Amino acid sequence: MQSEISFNVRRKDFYIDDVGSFDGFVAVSQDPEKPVSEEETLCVEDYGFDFKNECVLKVRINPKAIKLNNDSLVNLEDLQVVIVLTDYCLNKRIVLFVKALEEIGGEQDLNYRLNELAECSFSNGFEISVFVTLRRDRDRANFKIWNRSQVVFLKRFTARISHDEALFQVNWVDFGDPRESNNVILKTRWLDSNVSILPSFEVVQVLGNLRLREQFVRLESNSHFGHFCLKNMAVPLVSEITWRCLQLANFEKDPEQDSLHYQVLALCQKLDLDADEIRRAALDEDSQVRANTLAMLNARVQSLFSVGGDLATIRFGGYRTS
Amino acid sequence: MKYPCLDLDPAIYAWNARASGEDPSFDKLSIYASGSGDDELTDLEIEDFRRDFENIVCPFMEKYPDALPKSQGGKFDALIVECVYRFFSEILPVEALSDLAFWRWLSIVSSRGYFWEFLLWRFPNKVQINWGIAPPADAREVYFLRAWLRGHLMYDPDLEDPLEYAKKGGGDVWRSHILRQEFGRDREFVKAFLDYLEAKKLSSDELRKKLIPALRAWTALGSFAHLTYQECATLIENLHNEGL
Repeated sequence: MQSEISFNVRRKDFYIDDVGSFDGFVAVSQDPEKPVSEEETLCVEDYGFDFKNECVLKVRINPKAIKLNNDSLVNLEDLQVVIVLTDYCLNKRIVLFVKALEEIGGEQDLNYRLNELAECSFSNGFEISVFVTLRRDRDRANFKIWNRSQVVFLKRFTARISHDEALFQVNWVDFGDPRESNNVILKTRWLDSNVSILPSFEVVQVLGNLRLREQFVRLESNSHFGHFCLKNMAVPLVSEITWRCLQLANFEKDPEQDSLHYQVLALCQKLDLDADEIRRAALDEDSQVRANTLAMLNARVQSLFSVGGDLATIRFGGYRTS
Repeated sequence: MKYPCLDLDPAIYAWNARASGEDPSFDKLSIYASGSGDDELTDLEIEDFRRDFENIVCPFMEKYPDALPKSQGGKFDALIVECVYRFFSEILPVEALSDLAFWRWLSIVSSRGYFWEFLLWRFPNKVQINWGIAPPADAREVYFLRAWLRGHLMYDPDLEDPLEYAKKGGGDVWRSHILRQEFGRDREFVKAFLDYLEAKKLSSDELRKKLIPALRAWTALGSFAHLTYQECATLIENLHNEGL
């Protein structure tokens, strides 16, 4: 019999999420030539883009657009707006603006030149967050009901470099042993079992055979079957890492953000698999259950990567136009 | 000042050459200069840094000649912060110090591989990310960049020792609970957090299983960016004692 009952509280159940409507309250542009917009993705650029010199932020705020609910326990004059800027590369946040809403009055435009912020590089892009919170002089005694750190409205606008949330990076090394350096392309090395705490690169290394790297790069850029081959190499690695991670994971607590466990849970969602079910099967005493679950996982990973679909569209027998 | 850079492919080659006990061939490195100005950072300037660095490293290397034990990692990482931060912040702008290509050059090529050897001693499991062989999104995981960043984020000229907070806290706390966390972006919060850890002497379990989950859950509801040190300190204590 179950001795413990768990309850979940979702964000939408919190009082502070139902204060009123903030539609039209804030809009941002990263280019003074462009009109401000409520769209949260400002831009996605390749690494090397000079965000610092190319972007001039315009933030438009309009407190008159806020419509608080009649039964809201908070009044507009209790609130302030805060604008903060985050440098993604340095994990650094700077407060740009703090003002009581009632002191702003109508629509106001605020401009910020990123290149005036010497302490930031913005190499990986930036985030501009606009939030509404309780004014400093309105703090309450009971921190759980109302603390100045709580927000009644938050909107994040992002400009960042494009990057894949990869499950692993390949470490290209000399395999040494001729049996491996002549015949093995990729292999794994497990470093730590704390998969729910540590990020993937501290838990498992995917090692690539340095001797074959140039061929690997050529294969990667082969438009006919390069991706198909690479996906086939990735399938067993992804299956192995997922399987082993779930075996080692601590399911009693939420995993640390960016830990391997955290990444694998996200992957399981994409695979439409119940991670807890896979974990139970991976730890099952019955070897038949383990083998069949691993086989199913492998098939799902193939499906996610569409390896069959890729094979179906490969053209054989020459590439001359018909 | 211009600074030397090493791209990813030559870095992989050079890393492996050093791992095989060879000096990488200069022709294959394609080192290039970035930045602006007439001066250029070279190994000559790095020698000044190396001298200060060696003064810190040598006692540890004498005691642990094969590799630095994990138990000493946090203490050691805190000791080098000032030396790394002060030297590089004086000569290069933040843009250069956010550039992985520079840290790759420093970690793998410069000083005839001294820093490559040092990193191997510090990270005997050879995870290449520590040498800068990493995607840009993982820049904060690169060892020397991380050491400099601790100083850069926490430097406070109003304190008797402006780097007081940069030196507080072990390597694991910084890596897992500050640099990888959203709440690690706010300096006053980080100060209060480090003071709280020092005062309470929390066990690793208490930190990972109680305080950090409570802080992370709170982040979903709010922001620490605009809070004072005292407000952050009170909030941390409340969340630790009472949970969300």
